[in-house]
Amino acid sequence: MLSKKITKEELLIVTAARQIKDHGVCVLGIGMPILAGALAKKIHAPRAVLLMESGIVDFHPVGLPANVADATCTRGYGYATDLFSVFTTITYAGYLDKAFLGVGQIDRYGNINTSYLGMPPKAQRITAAGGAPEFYGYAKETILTMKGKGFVDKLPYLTSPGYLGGGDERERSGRYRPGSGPSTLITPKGIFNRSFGDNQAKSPQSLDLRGISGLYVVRPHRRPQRIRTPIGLQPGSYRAPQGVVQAFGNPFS
Amino acid sequence: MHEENKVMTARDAIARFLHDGDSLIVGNYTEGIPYSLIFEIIRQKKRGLTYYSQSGTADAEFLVAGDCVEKLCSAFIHKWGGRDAGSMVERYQRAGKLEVEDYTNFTYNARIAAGAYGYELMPVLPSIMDSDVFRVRGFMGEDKFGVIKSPFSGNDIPVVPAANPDVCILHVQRADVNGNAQHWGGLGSTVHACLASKKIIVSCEEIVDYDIIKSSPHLTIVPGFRVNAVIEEPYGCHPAELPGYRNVDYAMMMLINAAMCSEAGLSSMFDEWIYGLPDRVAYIQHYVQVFGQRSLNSYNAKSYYSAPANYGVAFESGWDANGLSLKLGINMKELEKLIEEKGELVDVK
Repeated sequence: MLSKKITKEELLIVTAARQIKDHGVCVLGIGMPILAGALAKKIHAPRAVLLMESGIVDFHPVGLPANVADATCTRGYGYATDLFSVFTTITYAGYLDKAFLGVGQIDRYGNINTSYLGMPPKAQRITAAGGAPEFYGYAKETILTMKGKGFVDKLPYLTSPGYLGGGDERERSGRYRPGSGPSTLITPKGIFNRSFGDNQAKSPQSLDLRGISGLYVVRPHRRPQRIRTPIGLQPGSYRAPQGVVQAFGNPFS
Repeated sequence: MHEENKVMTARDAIARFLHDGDSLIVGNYTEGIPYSLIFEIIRQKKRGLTYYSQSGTADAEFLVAGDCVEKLCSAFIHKWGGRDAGSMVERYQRAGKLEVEDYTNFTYNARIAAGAYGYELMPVLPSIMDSDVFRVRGFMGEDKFGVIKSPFSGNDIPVVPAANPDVCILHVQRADVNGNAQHWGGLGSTVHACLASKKIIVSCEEIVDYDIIKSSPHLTIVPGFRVNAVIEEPYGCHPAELPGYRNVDYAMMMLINAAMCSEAGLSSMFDEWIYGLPDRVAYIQHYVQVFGQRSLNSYNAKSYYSAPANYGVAFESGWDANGLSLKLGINMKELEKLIEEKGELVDVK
């Protein structure tokens, strides 16, 4: 038994931290990913190369920074570069193993909106694009984190393209790093993994997020439970893929 | 030629170099934001600016709320005042009082990188073509993005046009009187923002001797010959952070955040902290009155020095201690004789 109770947020941080591998090169956004990075560095990935898009590379998180260039992250780090170089020499050139991105709204294909809840200029803002579209396009894989109830059928504004219309549309476009895209979506409701569609063996390029219909709640000391999601449940619009949705599992098992 | 004195006050620098209708860019990316210069711009009631802010943080909020900005080009908007209150940028944008062009961090940076290098455009990463950032156009219209064909692969390559703002405002740790500006920490797009701009105003925590600059050229991010004004302005970026000096002042940030929840709050904050105070010295004095010296000091950095880089070399001239040329092994007299014998001396009488 754990000696102390933990919060749901801490559980998510543990889950996210497990995505960071030793020696892996990961870009972290503000908030939960930073804490996950701090935890991973301390526990299982001391040589993970953590970076922020402001050009602070190989840094050692000590707390929650106010922004991506915060002085809490600049007390000693391995490589001082700039934003343009992070997106080109590290990301587009193919050396970024994982990106952690926050999600405002997401559709079933992993397309993301972090900009507007409608069309500008009249619509309410979420925030804006920041570095998300390019990290999402060229990191080898992306771990998404979402706090609110952001599942929608159709995005009012598409900030960061995921699997576009589903299937192999992303791969076919030739505009993305092959194999890139969302691999895991971490939410307070549960953890979603990427689905490879029904004919995984025949067509490995057939990537979509239909798998997020198979949602699992992760709680300590309990087996993952299947629950229903607000999207992807329109009758006839899809078939729940069998056996390809993996529960992330109990992070304490 | 008469050497121009670049050292001046924030008031003089803004009055002299920034004009109504100019395009203005903030050099710092989220950290070290030159709030002293921003407050001065608001005090001087500059109007009709096109403002470039990569991080779109409280800098954009203040300038927009100060009615200085007509058009904003940004990659991010922080929701000051909370999700529902909405940022000032958002309120002005939705009310039709501000035109906004949204880029991503990379495409925004690519525009000023092109500007800094003297290119007319810069290729950006192809994934952007599937984003509404690419499709939805604001005041840049057709010129927001373009697509060209690679002559090598035949692929479509999205491009952005260069941006060359009229004025860049920047806050750094130290600079000399000639404007050689040294900055370390999260560089973001700071170098490109400065070098793309036609005029550069630098405020710094300390003005230092050229000898300090000379011994650490790797920290110089803008060369003095590009800089128009140097302002020694301790706490010039407060409440933002600056490595080696201080962290974000959360007390002040919380006050700003609370003020931004409503127009009334913001207007009283402007009266108290911007219009009611003539300069940064008065601002810091007022901060101490409100929050106390202890609060100010609690955000001061504990030093963590960089190991000095050894720039030493073996020789300081082409001649050794005995007056012999290092390359030829002869002295000056013998060298002159040699040149004369070769017939390479010219009579200029």
